[in-house]
Amino acid sequence: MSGSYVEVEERLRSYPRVDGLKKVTGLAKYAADWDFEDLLYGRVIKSSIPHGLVKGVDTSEALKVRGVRAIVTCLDDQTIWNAGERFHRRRVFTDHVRFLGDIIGAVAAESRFDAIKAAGLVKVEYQEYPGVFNVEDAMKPNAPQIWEDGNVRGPLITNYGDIEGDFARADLIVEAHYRTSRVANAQMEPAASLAWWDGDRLTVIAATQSIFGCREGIARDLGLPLEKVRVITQYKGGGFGNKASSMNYDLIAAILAKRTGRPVLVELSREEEFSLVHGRWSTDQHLKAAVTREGRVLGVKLKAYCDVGAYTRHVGKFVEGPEVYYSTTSWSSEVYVVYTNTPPTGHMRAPTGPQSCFAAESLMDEIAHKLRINPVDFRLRNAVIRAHNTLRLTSNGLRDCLQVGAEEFNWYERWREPPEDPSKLNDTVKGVGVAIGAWHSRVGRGEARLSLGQDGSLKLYVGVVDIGTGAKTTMALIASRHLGIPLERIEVTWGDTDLVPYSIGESGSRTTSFTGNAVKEAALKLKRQILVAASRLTGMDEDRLEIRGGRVVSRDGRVSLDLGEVVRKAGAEEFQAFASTEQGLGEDEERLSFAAHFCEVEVDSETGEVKVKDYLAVHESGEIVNLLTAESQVKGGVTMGIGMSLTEGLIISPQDGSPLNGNFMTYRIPNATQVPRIRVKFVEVEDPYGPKSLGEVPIVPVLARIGNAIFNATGVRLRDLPFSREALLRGMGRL
Amino acid sequence: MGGPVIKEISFKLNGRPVSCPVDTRLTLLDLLRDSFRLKSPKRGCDETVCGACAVLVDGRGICSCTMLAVEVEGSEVVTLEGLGSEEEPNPLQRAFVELDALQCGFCTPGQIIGATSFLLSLGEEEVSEEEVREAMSGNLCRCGCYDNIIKAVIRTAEVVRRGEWKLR
Repeated sequence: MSGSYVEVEERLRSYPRVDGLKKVTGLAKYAADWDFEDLLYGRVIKSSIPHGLVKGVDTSEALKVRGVRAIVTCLDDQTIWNAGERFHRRRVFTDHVRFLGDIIGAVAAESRFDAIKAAGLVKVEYQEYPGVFNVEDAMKPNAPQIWEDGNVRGPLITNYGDIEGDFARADLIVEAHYRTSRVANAQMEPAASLAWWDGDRLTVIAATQSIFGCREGIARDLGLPLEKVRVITQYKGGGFGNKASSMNYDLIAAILAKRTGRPVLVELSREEEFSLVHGRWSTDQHLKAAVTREGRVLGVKLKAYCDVGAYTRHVGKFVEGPEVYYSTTSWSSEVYVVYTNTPPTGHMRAPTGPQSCFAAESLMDEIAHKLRINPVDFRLRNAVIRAHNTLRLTSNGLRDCLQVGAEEFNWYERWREPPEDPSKLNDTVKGVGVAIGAWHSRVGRGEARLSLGQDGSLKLYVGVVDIGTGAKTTMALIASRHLGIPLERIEVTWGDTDLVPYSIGESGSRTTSFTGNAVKEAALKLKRQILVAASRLTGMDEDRLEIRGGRVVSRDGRVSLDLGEVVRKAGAEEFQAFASTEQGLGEDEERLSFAAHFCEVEVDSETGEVKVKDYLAVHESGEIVNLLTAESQVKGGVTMGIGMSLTEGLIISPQDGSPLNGNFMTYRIPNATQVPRIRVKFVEVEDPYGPKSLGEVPIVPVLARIGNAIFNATGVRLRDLPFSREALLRGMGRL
Repeated sequence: MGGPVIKEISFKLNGRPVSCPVDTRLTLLDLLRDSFRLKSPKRGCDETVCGACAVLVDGRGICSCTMLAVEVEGSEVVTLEGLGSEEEPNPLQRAFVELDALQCGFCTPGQIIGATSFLLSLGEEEVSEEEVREAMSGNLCRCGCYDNIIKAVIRTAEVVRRGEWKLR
């Protein structure tokens, strides 16, 4: 059988990244690192009002700046950027300004100085409209309309089971209100794109998470056939969802390059990254649960409002997730999506995950406390068996995560009831918390090509871009394992639509599953070819031969052939294999990855400072391909979740809707002193579709878990994110 | 409106003496990236917070995004390109790879410069985890590799302390 030689110990070994040395020596080339003698620098022209119509644009002063080569504005370019947006057609250069800084045009110039100066000299005349900067104002009947079809979308409904019946037969109804704030993806590499034309063919060096999604979007929006667009992404400095598919700055670079006939680099500054590129939307969630005396949650009602800013690129339900990881018999969600004259929102690592989990998992903790049930036991009692109470899970290690974690963390020894009276606390107090979470583990389409040369080296062609997930290494490992060829003999080609077959790209935690399955399939095809050829050469039956360490060997030890020799003796230049795979779930199936996180927090009862201490993350993501990089993904998600819990929150100006803390000085992402050691443990459960998702799920339970630990330490329940010292001190009667 | 002011400067860059005319408004980061085509220092925040643009100036890690190019006159500047190669990575670089102290890699040049600056300042004593965390707190990593970065720096500090790797 395929991969039968793969021993468990072998599978669980850790492999450093194949591109690690490029990254530690500065050789890894990011979009803005490409060199061109005749490069022009692009700069966007931004609106100076939050809401209104552009009546006129005067570029005469800007054009006088030495070095300016082109200025393009909403008056002379109508390109629509609608990749990923199924709701509104958004123009690249807008004449309807919907938030402060909305892009009206762009400049290309010989130097950064010239570009900045010229962009600042463009004069725009507006017809101003009043703006709305929060959900409440935007929902008022006479509110200024941001979109022709209104400011509110929804209610978006999720419903299953007999919700009213469950509420009628409940022993107890528990309700609470939670709020989560806007947060920024804040990946280290600010948005950048470099484009040039060779005749009618466009090449874009994009900082994208998906070269094929990016190519498709650019081709559609510029009206080009797919083969006229080439997208290259060698290295990319993170994205966490905001560089998926084609972005407006890719189109701006392409448009400026067309106008000037030269390569143009468009880079956004960090502050522009905060205000022009989307982050996570805020939520305001009211939850109500119907519970039995024994601690069974029968049903949950949820009503939520999301501030999605002037534009959003998310197309799902905006608050969703928990309805699939509890075994309730009913659920009812009603979600309102509200547009405001504030910066755009869209995908960020598990788009709906952490904020939805925060509310539900905090509420579960509140219920457990009311019923005096240990939080781990309460979750074991309510963890999902069938998603939506009907769909069969392809695999489910959620209970294992809880049990393994409780044991490893020594939970039952360390957990105690929270203090009765928070106002009596002194000095530093400690507490422990737990939370569970899950995320989609989708299946789908992937492609991969392999070629084995006369020197026995293997070339692997995959359409991944590797944004830090370690996808190149993972793909090479899958080929290595199924072929029996050592990792160091595999060369990966990636990140160029002209050179590699299709891949979904690094979003939605899909690469290992989608593209990984194609790599496995291609590897098995190639293996068959090799063994058939070797059988012919040696006269031995195929089933007595196998590949080990890059050699074809017979089980009796008499044959040992180098793979290159097999190719040469077969009279071939190379052996090639291509696979295109597509998986789909059955109608009655759901596929999820699971996590249970445990931690200890220390709270300074004088200052309200919260320190996250001992952290244990237990995950079930099916088979783990590379333990080393898998652990890094989990640590990364936990770190980002700690930021969202304790320090991160975009503060929106009530005057003009702009972010007041749109820079790294005031928007605090965690540094090395704020993140504890993080222990990661994987529970491996076999899944019929192969490895499950991992990149997004680690951020899902973090916020609730920290909140639950703070409650356990202090007896104060914090329901607004980020958790503020003020709220905590107020809860302890200190303010 | 006066045009840009140009000044001739001389300094040592990755061991080689160099001189060039610079626009006095130019930052060291832009000089290194655009004029010398050394792309390891990255533009992350433009305000001395994230550390992605860090380079060594006279043996100390500084943020090149807010230092003016003219200020390095007479100094010795080292970028990551001057610190070990793909064929011969130094012990710190090896530790980063082996312990997976990186993900997307964008902040990595700055992390390694920051860690080198710290290692250059070390005395005879063993370093504590707290000390290393404090020393590395000026280099942000959104991928969240801190755990592994700290391990890599502690491991290398031990190598330096034992005299197995001489930085200077």
